[in-house]
Amino acid sequence: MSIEQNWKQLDKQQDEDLSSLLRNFDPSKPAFRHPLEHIRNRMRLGMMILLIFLCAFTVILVLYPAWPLNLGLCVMISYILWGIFSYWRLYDRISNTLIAPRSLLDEMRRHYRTLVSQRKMSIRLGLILWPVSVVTGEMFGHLLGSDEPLVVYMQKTSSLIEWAVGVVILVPISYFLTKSLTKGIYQRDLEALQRNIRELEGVPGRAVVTAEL
Amino acid sequence: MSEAQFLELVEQNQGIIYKLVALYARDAEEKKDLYQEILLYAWKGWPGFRGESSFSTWLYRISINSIFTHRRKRRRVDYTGTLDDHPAQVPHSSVQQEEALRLQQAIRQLSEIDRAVISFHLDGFGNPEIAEMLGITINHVAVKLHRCKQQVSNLLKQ
Repeated sequence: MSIEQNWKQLDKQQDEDLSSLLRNFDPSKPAFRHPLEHIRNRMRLGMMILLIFLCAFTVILVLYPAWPLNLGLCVMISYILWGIFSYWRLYDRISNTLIAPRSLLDEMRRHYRTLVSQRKMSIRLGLILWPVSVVTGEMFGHLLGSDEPLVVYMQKTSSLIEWAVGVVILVPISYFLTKSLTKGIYQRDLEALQRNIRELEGVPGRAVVTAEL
Repeated sequence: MSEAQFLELVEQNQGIIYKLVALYARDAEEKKDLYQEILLYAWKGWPGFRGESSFSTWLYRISINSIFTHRRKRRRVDYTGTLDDHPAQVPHSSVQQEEALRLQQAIRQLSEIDRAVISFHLDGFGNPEIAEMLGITINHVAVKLHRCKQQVSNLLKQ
């Protein structure tokens, strides 16, 4: 018998396990989570955390009018606003449903690009957000806990060294920590996607993902 | 279109899903997961089905996209041997049926993409349709198909 005829024989197979799933199919049951939906949820959480930071910094900005602190807070607030905007743009672009007319290659490219964008965004945010938060936090702590004016405190060489060391150490730590955390989260997915994209493109080496999301 | 209509169409075409999940699932549990996943995504995509292609072609597309998406979520060591302890029941098992199952096992040893290419081909899709569903060129489909057939034929001879 030919391969085609053998394949046709498989049409006759019965599978009671699967048939019962169809008989008991309940569309209202919660669906298995689509990987892009996981990313959307993660981004939603990220945006909420950023919003909390935004509110807290705005309150401090209004209540404590000390210019060095306010300058730091303005930098933070602008950065957070940029973060929320970037997250929102990507969040909005992700469609969490499978759209039938999309080919397998396009679907995988879409997943790949989304994962890469989200990873880059997290690294960029981590790079500045945490170190600047620490320095601003230190200023705020001084403002609350000491009678010494902030401007005087800032002019001390020891304070400047403390901040410089804080930033010099914290920026790379934040960068590598976020990079390694996101690598742990996305690496397996990205590798699987890259392998399949590469095979579909028929091009050896790294997958070239140029399609729009 | 109603839920009943959807289920009826799926039932008529469930051979497509059976064959695909049998080619990709690593065990009985994953077979059920994949099947359920395909049903859910097909149901989600059902309002968007305009009838521009046949239901079976649409279901094929949904199934293959769901399988590739789902398998990424729980990637483990790939297992290409016999499926599991609950194989699909073949009525009146015969030499032909055994050969069919051997074919299935041979295809399971191909790469994930090649499994899709050959199953589309064996189900009667032409190279342009396969190319469109996978998003690759017709020439690439032809090359892949030629290679897959050779591999399967070698595996069957073993």
